[in-house]
Amino acid sequence: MMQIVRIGDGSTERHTADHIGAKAANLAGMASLGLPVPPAFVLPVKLCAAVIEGDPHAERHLIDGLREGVAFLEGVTGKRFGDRRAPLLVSVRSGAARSMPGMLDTVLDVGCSLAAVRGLIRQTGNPRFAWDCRRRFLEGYSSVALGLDPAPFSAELTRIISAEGAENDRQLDCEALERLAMAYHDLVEDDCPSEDPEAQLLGAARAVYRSWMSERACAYRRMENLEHLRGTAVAVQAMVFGNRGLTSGAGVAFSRDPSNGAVEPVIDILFDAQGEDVVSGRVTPLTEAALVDALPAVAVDLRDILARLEREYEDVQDIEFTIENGKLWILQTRAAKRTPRAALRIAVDLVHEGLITPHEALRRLKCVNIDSIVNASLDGAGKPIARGVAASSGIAVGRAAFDTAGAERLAGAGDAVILMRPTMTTDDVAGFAVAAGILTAVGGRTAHAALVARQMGKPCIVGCAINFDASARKAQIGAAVIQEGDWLSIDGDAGAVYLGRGKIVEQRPDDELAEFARWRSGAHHRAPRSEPASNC
Amino acid sequence: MKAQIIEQLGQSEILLPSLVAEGLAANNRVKVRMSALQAAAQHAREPTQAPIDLSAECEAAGLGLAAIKSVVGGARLGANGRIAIPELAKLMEGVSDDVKIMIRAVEIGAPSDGQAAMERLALIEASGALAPTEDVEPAAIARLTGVSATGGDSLHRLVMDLHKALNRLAADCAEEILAGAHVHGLRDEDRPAVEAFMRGLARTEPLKFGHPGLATTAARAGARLIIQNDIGTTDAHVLVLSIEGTSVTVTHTDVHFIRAKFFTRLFDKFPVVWSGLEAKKAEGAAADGAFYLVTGRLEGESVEERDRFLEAIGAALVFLIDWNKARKVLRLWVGKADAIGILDWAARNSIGHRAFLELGGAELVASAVRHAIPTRIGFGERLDSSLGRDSAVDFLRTVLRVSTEALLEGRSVRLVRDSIEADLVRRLERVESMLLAIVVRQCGLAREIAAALVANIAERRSGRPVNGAAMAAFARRVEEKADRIAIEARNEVSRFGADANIEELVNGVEAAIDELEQAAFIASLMPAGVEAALLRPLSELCAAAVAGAEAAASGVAAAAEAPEGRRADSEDALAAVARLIDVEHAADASERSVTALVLSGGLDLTTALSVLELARAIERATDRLAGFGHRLRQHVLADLAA
Repeated sequence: MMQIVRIGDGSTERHTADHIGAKAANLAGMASLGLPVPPAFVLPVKLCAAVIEGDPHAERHLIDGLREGVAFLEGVTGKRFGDRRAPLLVSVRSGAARSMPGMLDTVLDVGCSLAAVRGLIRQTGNPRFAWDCRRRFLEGYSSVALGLDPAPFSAELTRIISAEGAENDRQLDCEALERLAMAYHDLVEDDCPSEDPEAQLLGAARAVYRSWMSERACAYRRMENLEHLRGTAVAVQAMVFGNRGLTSGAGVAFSRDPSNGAVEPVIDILFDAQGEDVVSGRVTPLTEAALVDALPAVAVDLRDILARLEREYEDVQDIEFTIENGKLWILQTRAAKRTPRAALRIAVDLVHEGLITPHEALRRLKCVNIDSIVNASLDGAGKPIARGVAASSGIAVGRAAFDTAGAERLAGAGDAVILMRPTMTTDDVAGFAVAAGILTAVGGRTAHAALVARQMGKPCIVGCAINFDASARKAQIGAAVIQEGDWLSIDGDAGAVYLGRGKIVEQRPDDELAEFARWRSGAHHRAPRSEPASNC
Repeated sequence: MKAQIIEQLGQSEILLPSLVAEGLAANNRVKVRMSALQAAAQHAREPTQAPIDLSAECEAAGLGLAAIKSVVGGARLGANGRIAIPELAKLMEGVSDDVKIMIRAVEIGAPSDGQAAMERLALIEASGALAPTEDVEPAAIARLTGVSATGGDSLHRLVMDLHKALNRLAADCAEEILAGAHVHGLRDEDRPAVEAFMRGLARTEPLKFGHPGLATTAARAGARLIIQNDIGTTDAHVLVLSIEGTSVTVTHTDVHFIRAKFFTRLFDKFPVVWSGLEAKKAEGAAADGAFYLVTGRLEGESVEERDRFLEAIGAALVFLIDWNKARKVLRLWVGKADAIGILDWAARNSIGHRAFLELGGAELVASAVRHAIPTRIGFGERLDSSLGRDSAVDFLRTVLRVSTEALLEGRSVRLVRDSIEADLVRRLERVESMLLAIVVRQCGLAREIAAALVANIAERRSGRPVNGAAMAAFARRVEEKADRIAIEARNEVSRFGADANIEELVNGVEAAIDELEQAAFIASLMPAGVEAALLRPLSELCAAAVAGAEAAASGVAAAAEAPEGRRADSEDALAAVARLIDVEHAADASERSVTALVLSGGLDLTTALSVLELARAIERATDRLAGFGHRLRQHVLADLAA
């Protein structure tokens, strides 16, 4: 008999990633530390394996497991699944023993029937929030569980946004969101189980299993040598809502600065928003200062939790969090990705703080190109013409380009290029590759542009107020008008943009490098431990 | 019975029952083979898409999966535009053999039918459609597997005709009638399964109200017990159950994909694994074919569970008859999804839609609208726009229920019409719930402006740049929208002659929205650099306005449930009213502290004026909301007294 695993029942039992998937094991780990994690239950990996192998009893275990799990969530939350008075909504998440980012499906706001919308309004008095949940549910469920073409849905969204004179979905008022949700409702058409919460849940769970066997997931496992994985767990978690109002929000936080390693948390937050809004990069998130202003107690909690997690996991953490009505919830934690420079500084600091040994520090730096690490600064650039959000550290000086074609042309002529874009799309990747630095008008440190730039090790500033005039091939930053080909200097640490061609002064972090060298010579005296090269 | 048939057919045809059983099994196989051809064509056209999975279908028909998989997965579009399919010759041979097995049984049972079928097959073979080649034109697959509406013959049409003939023979040569099913060659252990299926069928069969169909045959074919039902009268609409031990495989062919989905939903309490329901797969099939093949498999844990499932299937079949017709009728009055939802409900509650259609369907509802409320619902207007969605759905459910009850009990049509009209009139009297939904929408809009004010003040407090003009423009748009909604609501109130108190609620929120819009306008003009000591009470005021709008929305939402709800609903509504009064007091206090700070002097005129005016406008808004709360209490208390 298959047993579901409960998270948030007060148990401190740890579970392995092989058993319940890496994501759920992580959640269970945080819950066992007493951190505020929304309650959840997990259908273990082996059920997925049984479903795929066509085990005749798998379907029954699935149905029974979901039923038992929902009863558990109802018990701990005091809400009822799909209820018209106090509805429980859940997220249905995938999670294999090893992370497969973006490969498997997730459905949010499951249980959000029209009756539940009424219940949400009644509980919160916030129709905007209730209809927002409904439309988010229909967006996700229709494409993931029902396999419907997302195009008509996004066409409907675009139509309503433009009819309302809004710029994006965040600017829609509650009445427009209600109309949007009802238009989606009609698009779902023949699949009225969107009204039956149990059928929704079953459909979402099955969709997660299907996504395990999807072409892209199979291809990814082949590519990443993960073919030994037996399946994905399904984690069903009580939803917490960052979109409940202005004392709610969602964000991403690093326990230290992942671009330079500074011992200060880096926090991105959007109020009245869900997690997917923060990572989408469509809107520029606020920083810790805004959180301190709005919800000082939460800001203190968040710092405490970041420090705690760093101690527990002995490394810099990258977490996802949600605040619902002034209450902080942690949804995920993982070791933070970092620039080579940050990696060195963090390793040195963690050794000083006694969290890790020099031996461990060396192991972590094994894949870092130590010789490439320099601290660059800008000399003689004058006053910045604008400031944005520092998203990837370093200095870049180059000629302004407004699109990939322009960037390639200028780079082809042998000049360094600063690529300026309203936001980043997949079309811009080639432009990123040839650019020395990147500047975007919207987005936060967790936006796609920032992630890609950090990955490529290129200085990047996001959320910098730029007005583009595409037809005239010029842009305005603050009072300055920039033509394509003009020289710009950007400081990816300070988030500052300068007019003209500044001089880059490079300095090696000598103290840290010396310490690194000491560890290395010390390590010679020990028996070397072999590490698999695939860890790089 | 059996003796008569043997006499009629002559001694040699004593084997007929087993031939028929074999023919029916061949029918299952040939359908899978034709589906494999369609799937192969589909895969050849779109090789990047995962090929359609026919494993459940193969399992049900007793075909080797590997061969079919390689047929589908290995199909490639050649440069000549033809589709190369591995082992195509063998597949075509299989198709041809299956059809011949079917014909052989028909020939013995009904020689002239068999003869005609043989000739048709000969013509199809002569056309080269089944030729053992390595590749085939896409159009040829379409011709083979399609059933054209214009009547041209095709292999698929021939298969369907043979299937029908086999069913007739199966009924004729039945050894006996078991619980209403024509059966032959059953083993003792087969009987409970057939009886369970027939128990379900018998329970709901009266709901077909004279429509032909639902004939059942059952036979043992090797290791399996096969139960078949011809459902309605559509050729391509057939149900075959294949039972082995405690496992049941359902094969359902249907011309309407959404009906097939509807059918599978009715068994969502059983752990059945369905295949053929993926939208993509259906599109592929629809491209060339005229039917959808849906398969479900239940691995029963016990004989009891298997029989419960069989009974449920038997009981569900009547709801497939005329399903699409009923759906189209309901679509005249409510949205697409709701129309299907109503049919779902009717099936789950053993009501069905046949009685409704029998009593006139669309006309039945239209005449009720004409008689009961000619002035209130315009010609061609959907019921959900005039009654509200919930009430419209509920009304149509009632129409279906009343129709079924009346026909079952032999009541007069006149009585049915009267009771439907009366229900509609009653609903119009309760149209309040829909009007209250409009009030909720208004409260939401009030909250939008209040929240924008909160954000504006928060930004000022943190020293971030504020875009006051954008906020004021947003507030103006919201206010205009709220105005339009209020006008609409007032029209509805008078159209339905609803409680005047509701109009007062509408007016109350509208007034609060006006004040909030005024506040947003002033806030947009407030100079930068207003000191923190002033911003603090202002932000408390804005927060109070948000809390007020939320309490109002939440109270109305609870009140809308109250007439038919539980005590908790009216209690919740009254608790929200109490919150509104508290909010008003808190806002009063904050407004006073703003006034005191301003009057203590030291401010420039613009700052002093704008801060005071802003505080006043918000305080007036919370006043209006408190007034709204009093009306809401009256409304809830009146409901409780009624």
